[in-house]
Amino acid sequence: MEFPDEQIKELEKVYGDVRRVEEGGKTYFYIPTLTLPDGCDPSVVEAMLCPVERDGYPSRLFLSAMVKTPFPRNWNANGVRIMERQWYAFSYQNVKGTLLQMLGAHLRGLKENR
Amino acid sequence: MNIIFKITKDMLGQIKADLARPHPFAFERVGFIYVRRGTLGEGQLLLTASYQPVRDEHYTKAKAGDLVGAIINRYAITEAMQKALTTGEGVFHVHMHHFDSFGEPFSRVDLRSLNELMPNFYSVSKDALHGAILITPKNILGKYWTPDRTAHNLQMISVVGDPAIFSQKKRLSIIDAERYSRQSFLGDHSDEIIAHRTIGVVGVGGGGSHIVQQLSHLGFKKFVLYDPDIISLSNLNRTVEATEKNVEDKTKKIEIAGRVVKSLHKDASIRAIGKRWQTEPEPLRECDLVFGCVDQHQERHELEISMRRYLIPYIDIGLTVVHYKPRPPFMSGHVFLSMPGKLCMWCLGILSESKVAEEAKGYGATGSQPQVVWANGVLASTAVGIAVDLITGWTQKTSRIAYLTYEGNAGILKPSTRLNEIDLTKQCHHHQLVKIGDPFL
Repeated sequence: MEFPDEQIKELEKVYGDVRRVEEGGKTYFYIPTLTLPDGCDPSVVEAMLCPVERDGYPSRLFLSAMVKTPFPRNWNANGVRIMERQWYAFSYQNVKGTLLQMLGAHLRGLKENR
Repeated sequence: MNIIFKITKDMLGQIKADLARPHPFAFERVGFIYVRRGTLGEGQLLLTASYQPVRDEHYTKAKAGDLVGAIINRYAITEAMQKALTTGEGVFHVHMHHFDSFGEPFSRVDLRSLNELMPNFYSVSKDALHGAILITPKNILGKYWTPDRTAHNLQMISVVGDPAIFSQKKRLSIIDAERYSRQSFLGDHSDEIIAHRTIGVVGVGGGGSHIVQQLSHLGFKKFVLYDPDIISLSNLNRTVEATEKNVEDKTKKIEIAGRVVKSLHKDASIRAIGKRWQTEPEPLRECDLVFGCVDQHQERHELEISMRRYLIPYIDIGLTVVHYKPRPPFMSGHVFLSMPGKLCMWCLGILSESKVAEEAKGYGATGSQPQVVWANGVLASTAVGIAVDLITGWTQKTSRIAYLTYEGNAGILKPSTRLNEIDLTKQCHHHQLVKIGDPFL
């Protein structure tokens, strides 16, 4: 799937060395250093943003560790294998928009009280 | 160091076709194979990702007295160096002989030129291994050079395809030949080929326990087995060789499977890993063939990705029983051979977004899936049959698409009707050959 250059540049501007990778027919954006919202532990992780439909979600944010969050989350992707590594994602539906918007929405999902 | 060179049969065919083309003046053609690395516990896989022919204009005319079939100029070498520089891939010079040798297959002239060539590649791609491949009518042979200009023979070259070709062979004793005399129709030296193959089985419960048992009877004795579970009472209805005592003792399923292999082969080599395969995947990469006997779509998806990445044929089996009352329960299953470079489980609809999404919704739900021994046995036996054919080539089939569906209520196993609905010649776009090997993150 194609993503506009300006969206990728926007993501790179905020998160630096972002790398696009493809695996199993899916596109991912690898973010080597992602700072999580206050109250999350660990506070910095690696991340893999999947901006296309996967597992019944229009987009997903996979993190290199399962994070302790201010409010409990349903980590229903536990040890998912992407690029020969294990990743973790919590259930968070209907996140769409530009790459940066998607990432921001997933991050907000980590801290909000639902 | 354990170095395994792998190439798909299709890629080898393309290379042979290219090298066989006549050149306006050179007596033979050469080309460059680019390999990507796959990390093993001790050693590495060299996985063929692409091939680049040497252009016609990059050959130079030999002088009188030159004992060479082809001389290539610096532009050909620079092109190969450029690709190695930008990709970090290893470069393997490849050429063909129209005869088989008993001794050293590379000629003295070959070795002298290759010795001079290799430092060029190490100067631009230091971390990769570089070398040369020689294709003969009956064989494929190779060497790799270490940066100190020492040449080493490639001990194992595997041509991944249908049937598979393995360059490694060793004679067994006459006692073993007698033992397998009733299956000698599998081909000359089939017992040797089988004995030297390493087979991975992910999940050794209902389906996997049958597979391990049958493979052991056939003479396979090198296994990598994964299962994190201990045997429970509800497993006894279908797990071959599991006993009530095992349930009392809380025996791991891999121990039971290992016991089956050892009871048939005292000298078996078994890596029994009582964890999810994802937590320790490296041993799987050394396998020549892997069976997946897993319950979840997500897991079979991940297994297929990993096996494609390391050019390993993967056979997936699955069984489902659904019950919508008042109708009788409906049992269905599949056996699928996922061959690197060919159509995958996504291409054929075995996996789909809706199936994976449906499964994700019910993630963590308690309750066990219905499974029965005879259906597991049918699927496992079929999978073993495909594997033996793939490894020995006894039916002389080539380029099959093995996707069989099981209608349990009718007791019918047949080629999937999906095979009639899609273009079987199309390329798989989910798993690209150029992206094989260890990922760069």
